[in-house]
Amino acid sequence: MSEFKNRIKLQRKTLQVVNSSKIYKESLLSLSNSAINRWATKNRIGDEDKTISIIKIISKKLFFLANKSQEQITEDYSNKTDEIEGLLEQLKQIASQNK
Amino acid sequence: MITHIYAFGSICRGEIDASSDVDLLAITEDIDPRFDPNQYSIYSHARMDRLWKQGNPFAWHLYMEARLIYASDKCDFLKSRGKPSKYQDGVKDCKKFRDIFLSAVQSLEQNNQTEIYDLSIVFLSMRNFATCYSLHGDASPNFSRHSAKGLGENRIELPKNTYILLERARILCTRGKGSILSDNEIQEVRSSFRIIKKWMDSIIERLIQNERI
Repeated sequence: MSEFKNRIKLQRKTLQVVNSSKIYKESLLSLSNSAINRWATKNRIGDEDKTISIIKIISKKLFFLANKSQEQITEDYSNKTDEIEGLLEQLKQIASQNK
Repeated sequence: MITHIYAFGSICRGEIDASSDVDLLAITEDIDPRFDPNQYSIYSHARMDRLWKQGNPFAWHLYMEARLIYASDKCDFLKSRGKPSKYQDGVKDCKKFRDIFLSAVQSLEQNNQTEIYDLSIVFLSMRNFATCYSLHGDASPNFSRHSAKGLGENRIELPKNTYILLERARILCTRGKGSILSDNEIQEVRSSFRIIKKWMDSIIERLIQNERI
Protein backbone atom coordinates (compact mmCIF):
# COMPACT_ATOMS: atom_id res chain seq x y z
CA MET A 1 0.00 0.00 0.00
CA SER A 2 1.26 3.50 -0.74
CA GLU A 3 2.63 5.45 2.19
CA PHE A 4 -0.02 8.13 1.91
CA LYS A 5 -2.89 5.63 1.78
CA ASN A 6 -1.45 3.91 4.83
CA ARG A 7 -1.31 7.18 6.76
CA ILE A 8 -4.94 7.94 5.89
CA LYS A 9 -5.96 4.46 7.02
CA LEU A 10 -4.11 4.77 10.33
CA GLN A 11 -5.60 8.19 10.94
CA ARG A 12 -9.09 6.76 10.34
CA LYS A 13 -8.37 3.85 12.68
CA THR A 14 -7.27 6.28 15.42
CA LEU A 15 -10.44 8.35 15.02
CA GLN A 16 -12.59 5.20 15.19
CA VAL A 17 -11.00 4.18 18.48
CA VAL A 18 -11.37 7.63 20.07
CA ASN A 19 -14.91 8.14 18.75
CA SER A 20 -16.05 4.71 19.93
CA SER A 21 -16.14 6.25 23.43
CA LYS A 22 -19.55 7.74 23.91
CA ILE A 23 -18.41 10.16 26.60
CA TYR A 24 -17.48 12.97 24.22
CA LYS A 25 -19.89 15.73 23.24
CA GLU A 26 -18.21 16.21 19.86
CA SER A 27 -16.26 13.62 17.87
CA LEU A 28 -12.60 13.99 17.01
CA LEU A 29 -12.66 15.09 13.36
CA SER A 30 -9.08 14.48 12.29
CA LEU A 31 -5.53 14.47 13.60
CA SER A 32 -4.60 17.98 12.54
CA ASN A 33 -3.43 20.21 15.37
CA SER A 34 -6.45 22.50 14.91
CA ALA A 35 -8.92 19.61 14.94
CA ILE A 36 -7.35 18.14 18.09
CA ASN A 37 -7.51 21.53 19.81
CA ARG A 38 -11.15 21.95 18.77
CA TRP A 39 -12.01 18.51 20.15
CA ALA A 40 -10.23 19.27 23.44
CA THR A 41 -12.02 22.61 23.83
CA LYS A 42 -15.48 21.26 22.94
CA ASN A 43 -15.08 18.38 25.36
CA ARG A 44 -13.24 20.34 28.08
CA ILE A 45 -10.22 18.07 27.94
CA GLY A 46 -7.01 19.32 29.49
CA ASP A 47 -3.48 18.83 28.19
CA GLU A 48 -2.75 16.39 31.02
CA ASP A 49 -5.35 13.93 29.66
CA LYS A 50 -3.73 10.64 28.64
CA THR A 51 -5.91 10.22 25.52
CA ILE A 52 -4.96 13.60 24.10
CA SER A 53 -1.26 13.04 24.69
CA ILE A 54 -1.38 9.71 22.80
CA ILE A 55 -3.42 11.30 19.98
CA LYS A 56 -0.81 14.03 19.61
CA ILE A 57 2.03 11.49 19.48
CA ILE A 58 0.20 9.51 16.77
CA SER A 59 -0.51 12.68 14.81
CA LYS A 60 3.13 13.72 14.97
CA LYS A 61 4.27 10.30 13.79
CA LEU A 62 1.82 10.41 10.90
CA PHE A 63 2.89 13.95 10.00
CA PHE A 64 -0.72 15.09 10.10
CA LEU A 65 -0.32 17.86 12.67
CA ALA A 66 0.40 20.46 10.02
CA ASN A 67 -1.78 18.75 7.42
CA LYS A 68 -0.38 20.56 4.39
CA SER A 69 -2.55 19.17 1.63
CA GLN A 70 -0.34 20.59 -1.14
CA GLU A 71 2.49 18.21 -0.38
CA GLN A 72 0.46 15.07 0.04
CA ILE A 73 1.52 13.59 -3.25
CA THR A 74 5.15 13.23 -2.27
CA GLU A 75 5.00 9.83 -0.51
CA ASP A 76 7.61 11.31 1.73
CA TYR A 77 6.99 9.73 5.04
CA SER A 78 8.67 6.75 6.64
CA ASN A 79 6.43 3.90 7.67
CA LYS A 80 5.65 3.96 11.37
CA THR A 81 2.77 1.48 11.32
CA ASP A 82 4.16 -0.74 14.09
CA GLU A 83 4.78 2.16 16.48
CA ILE A 84 1.31 3.53 15.81
CA GLU A 85 -0.38 0.16 16.29
CA GLY A 86 1.20 0.04 19.77
CA LEU A 87 -0.18 3.49 20.60
CA LEU A 88 -3.59 2.47 19.24
CA GLU A 89 -3.65 -0.43 21.69
CA GLN A 90 -3.14 2.04 24.54
CA LEU A 91 -5.98 4.20 23.19
CA LYS A 92 -8.27 1.16 22.92
CA GLN A 93 -7.65 0.31 26.57
CA ILE A 94 -8.55 3.85 27.65
CA ALA A 95 -11.61 3.86 25.35
CA SER A 96 -12.85 0.54 26.77
CA GLN A 97 -12.67 2.01 30.30
CA ASN A 98 -14.77 4.96 29.11
CA LYS A 99 -17.61 2.85 27.72
CA MET B 1 23.45 26.51 7.77
CA ILE B 2 22.04 27.39 4.34
CA THR B 3 18.33 28.10 4.56
CA HIS B 4 15.70 29.07 2.03
CA ILE B 5 12.15 30.11 2.86
CA TYR B 6 9.33 30.28 0.31
CA ALA B 7 5.63 31.06 0.28
CA PHE B 8 3.45 28.86 -1.91
CA GLY B 9 -0.18 27.84 -2.28
CA SER B 10 -3.31 29.98 -2.18
CA ILE B 11 -1.56 33.18 -1.10
CA CYS B 12 0.62 33.09 -4.26
CA ARG B 13 -2.44 32.57 -6.45
CA GLY B 14 -4.37 35.37 -4.77
CA GLU B 15 -6.97 32.74 -3.78
CA ILE B 16 -7.64 34.26 -0.40
CA ASP B 17 -10.73 33.77 1.71
CA ALA B 18 -11.54 33.57 5.40
CA SER B 19 -10.44 29.94 5.55
CA SER B 20 -7.11 30.44 3.73
CA ASP B 21 -3.88 29.81 5.55
CA VAL B 22 -0.36 30.77 4.52
CA ASP B 23 1.75 27.92 3.17
CA LEU B 24 5.40 28.29 4.01
CA LEU B 25 8.25 26.06 2.88
CA ALA B 26 11.59 25.89 4.68
CA ILE B 27 14.46 24.22 2.85
CA THR B 28 17.23 23.55 5.30
CA GLU B 29 19.74 20.94 6.45
CA ASP B 30 19.46 18.50 9.35
CA ILE B 31 16.95 19.20 12.09
CA ASP B 32 16.50 22.92 12.49
CA PRO B 33 14.56 23.73 15.68
CA ARG B 34 13.80 27.24 14.44
CA PHE B 35 11.12 25.80 12.16
CA ASP B 36 7.86 24.59 13.68
CA PRO B 37 6.38 21.80 11.52
CA ASN B 38 2.95 23.24 12.30
CA GLN B 39 3.93 26.40 10.48
CA TYR B 40 6.29 25.17 7.77
CA SER B 41 6.64 22.34 5.29
CA ILE B 42 10.25 21.37 5.96
CA TYR B 43 12.50 19.72 3.38
CA SER B 44 16.23 19.27 2.92
CA HIS B 45 17.93 20.56 -0.21
CA ALA B 46 18.79 16.98 -1.21
CA ARG B 47 15.17 15.85 -0.85
CA MET B 48 13.99 18.79 -2.91
CA ASP B 49 16.51 17.84 -5.61
CA ARG B 50 15.09 14.30 -5.67
CA LEU B 51 11.52 15.60 -6.04
CA TRP B 52 12.73 17.74 -8.95
CA LYS B 53 14.34 14.74 -10.64
CA GLN B 54 11.24 12.60 -10.13
CA GLY B 55 9.04 15.29 -11.70
CA ASN B 56 6.90 15.05 -8.57
CA PRO B 57 3.69 17.18 -8.60
CA PHE B 58 4.86 19.04 -5.50
CA ALA B 59 8.05 20.04 -7.35
CA TRP B 60 5.92 21.29 -10.25
CA HIS B 61 3.68 23.14 -7.83
CA LEU B 62 6.67 24.91 -6.30
CA TYR B 63 8.26 25.55 -9.68
CA MET B 64 5.13 27.28 -10.93
CA GLU B 65 4.02 29.12 -7.81
CA ALA B 66 6.59 29.39 -5.01
CA ARG B 67 7.89 32.85 -4.13
CA LEU B 68 11.21 33.30 -2.36
CA ILE B 69 10.96 35.10 0.96
CA TYR B 70 14.44 34.59 2.41
CA ALA B 71 17.74 33.00 1.32
CA SER B 72 20.70 32.89 3.68
CA ASP B 73 23.04 32.64 0.66
CA LYS B 74 21.14 35.27 -1.38
CA CYS B 75 20.34 32.63 -4.05
CA ASP B 76 16.93 31.42 -5.21
CA PHE B 77 17.52 27.70 -4.71
CA LEU B 78 14.32 26.52 -6.43
CA LYS B 79 14.71 28.83 -9.40
CA SER B 80 18.26 27.59 -9.88
CA ARG B 81 16.93 24.00 -10.25
CA GLY B 82 15.20 24.95 -13.51
CA LYS B 83 12.21 22.93 -14.71
CA PRO B 84 11.43 19.66 -12.87
CA SER B 85 11.53 16.47 -14.91
CA LYS B 86 8.42 15.55 -16.86
CA TYR B 87 5.64 14.22 -14.65
CA GLN B 88 5.02 10.62 -15.65
CA ASP B 89 2.94 9.13 -12.86
CA GLY B 90 -0.40 10.67 -13.78
CA VAL B 91 -2.24 7.39 -14.30
CA LYS B 92 -0.72 5.79 -11.22
CA ASP B 93 -1.42 8.83 -9.00
CA CYS B 94 -4.98 9.30 -10.34
CA LYS B 95 -5.67 5.63 -9.60
CA LYS B 96 -4.22 6.12 -6.12
CA PHE B 97 -6.54 9.04 -5.39
CA ARG B 98 -9.52 7.12 -6.80
CA ASP B 99 -8.64 4.29 -4.36
CA ILE B 100 -8.46 6.80 -1.53
CA PHE B 101 -11.88 8.17 -2.54
CA LEU B 102 -13.32 4.63 -2.66
CA SER B 103 -11.87 3.79 0.76
CA ALA B 104 -13.63 6.86 2.21
CA VAL B 105 -16.91 5.78 0.58
CA GLN B 106 -16.48 2.29 1.99
CA SER B 107 -15.73 3.66 5.46
CA LEU B 108 -18.92 5.75 5.36
CA GLU B 109 -20.90 2.65 4.45
CA GLN B 110 -19.43 0.69 7.36
CA ASN B 111 -19.82 3.09 10.28
CA ASN B 112 -20.55 6.69 11.25
CA GLN B 113 -17.62 7.30 13.59
CA THR B 114 -15.49 9.12 11.03
CA GLU B 115 -18.09 10.71 8.76
CA ILE B 116 -16.64 14.22 8.60
CA TYR B 117 -13.13 12.87 8.16
CA ASP B 118 -14.26 10.60 5.32
CA LEU B 119 -15.98 13.50 3.57
CA SER B 120 -12.82 15.54 4.00
CA ILE B 121 -10.85 12.72 2.36
CA VAL B 122 -13.34 12.74 -0.52
CA PHE B 123 -12.59 16.45 -1.04
CA LEU B 124 -8.84 15.85 -0.77
CA SER B 125 -8.94 12.96 -3.24
CA MET B 126 -10.95 15.02 -5.77
CA ARG B 127 -8.53 17.90 -5.48
CA ASN B 128 -5.34 15.86 -5.74
CA PHE B 129 -6.82 13.70 -8.50
CA ALA B 130 -7.60 16.83 -10.51
CA THR B 131 -4.15 18.30 -9.89
CA CYS B 132 -2.43 15.11 -11.04
CA TYR B 133 -4.66 14.92 -14.11
CA SER B 134 -4.03 18.56 -14.99
CA LEU B 135 -0.31 18.03 -14.75
CA HIS B 136 -0.28 14.83 -16.76
CA GLY B 137 -3.14 15.32 -19.15
CA ASP B 138 -4.12 17.86 -21.71
CA ALA B 139 -5.34 20.53 -19.26
CA SER B 140 -3.29 23.40 -17.83
CA PRO B 141 -1.55 22.57 -14.53
CA ASN B 142 -3.90 23.47 -11.72
CA PHE B 143 -2.78 23.47 -8.08
CA SER B 144 -5.75 25.31 -6.68
CA ARG B 145 -7.86 23.99 -3.80
CA HIS B 146 -10.62 24.06 -6.40
CA SER B 147 -8.68 22.26 -9.12
CA ALA B 148 -11.53 19.73 -9.60
CA LYS B 149 -13.72 22.59 -10.80
CA GLY B 150 -10.96 24.17 -12.88
CA LEU B 151 -10.46 21.58 -15.61
CA GLY B 152 -12.56 23.20 -18.31
CA GLU B 153 -14.79 20.66 -20.00
CA ASN B 154 -13.31 17.92 -17.81
CA ARG B 155 -14.29 19.59 -14.55
CA ILE B 156 -16.39 17.77 -12.02
CA GLU B 157 -20.10 18.50 -12.30
CA LEU B 158 -21.24 18.35 -8.70
CA PRO B 159 -24.24 20.25 -7.36
CA LYS B 160 -22.94 23.53 -5.95
CA ASN B 161 -24.13 22.86 -2.41
CA THR B 162 -22.60 19.37 -2.37
CA TYR B 163 -19.22 20.83 -3.28
CA ILE B 164 -19.56 23.48 -0.54
CA LEU B 165 -20.41 20.79 2.02
CA LEU B 166 -17.37 18.73 1.03
CA GLU B 167 -15.13 21.77 1.34
CA ARG B 168 -16.68 22.52 4.73
CA ALA B 169 -15.77 19.02 5.90
CA ARG B 170 -12.21 19.55 4.66
CA ILE B 171 -11.86 22.87 6.52
CA LEU B 172 -13.29 21.32 9.69
CA CYS B 173 -10.64 18.62 9.54
CA THR B 174 -7.65 20.74 8.57
CA ARG B 175 -8.34 23.97 10.45
CA GLY B 176 -10.90 22.86 13.02
CA LYS B 177 -13.23 25.65 11.93
CA GLY B 178 -16.91 25.58 11.01
CA SER B 179 -20.10 23.87 12.03
CA ILE B 180 -20.48 20.10 11.96
CA LEU B 181 -22.47 18.76 9.01
CA SER B 182 -25.95 17.52 9.87
CA ASP B 183 -27.16 14.01 9.02
CA ASN B 184 -29.21 15.45 6.15
CA GLU B 185 -26.19 17.28 4.76
CA ILE B 186 -24.05 14.15 4.98
CA GLN B 187 -26.79 12.24 3.16
CA GLU B 188 -26.92 14.94 0.48
CA VAL B 189 -23.19 14.57 -0.17
CA ARG B 190 -23.35 10.77 -0.19
CA SER B 191 -25.98 10.83 -2.89
CA SER B 192 -23.42 12.48 -5.21
CA PHE B 193 -20.64 9.92 -4.81
CA ARG B 194 -21.61 8.19 -8.05
CA ILE B 195 -20.93 11.46 -9.92
CA ILE B 196 -17.44 11.65 -8.43
CA LYS B 197 -16.68 8.02 -9.26
CA LYS B 198 -17.93 8.40 -12.81
CA TRP B 199 -15.80 11.53 -13.26
CA MET B 200 -12.68 9.79 -11.94
CA ASP B 201 -13.32 6.65 -14.02
CA SER B 202 -13.75 8.62 -17.23
CA ILE B 203 -10.58 10.67 -16.69
CA ILE B 204 -8.49 7.59 -15.89
CA GLU B 205 -9.88 5.91 -18.99
CA ARG B 206 -8.89 8.94 -21.07
CA LEU B 207 -5.37 8.98 -19.61
CA ILE B 208 -4.94 5.30 -20.35
CA GLN B 209 -6.15 5.79 -23.92
CA ASN B 210 -3.74 8.70 -24.40
CA GLU B 211 -0.87 6.55 -23.17
CA ARG B 212 -1.74 3.88 -25.76
CA ILE B 213 -1.57 6.50 -28.50
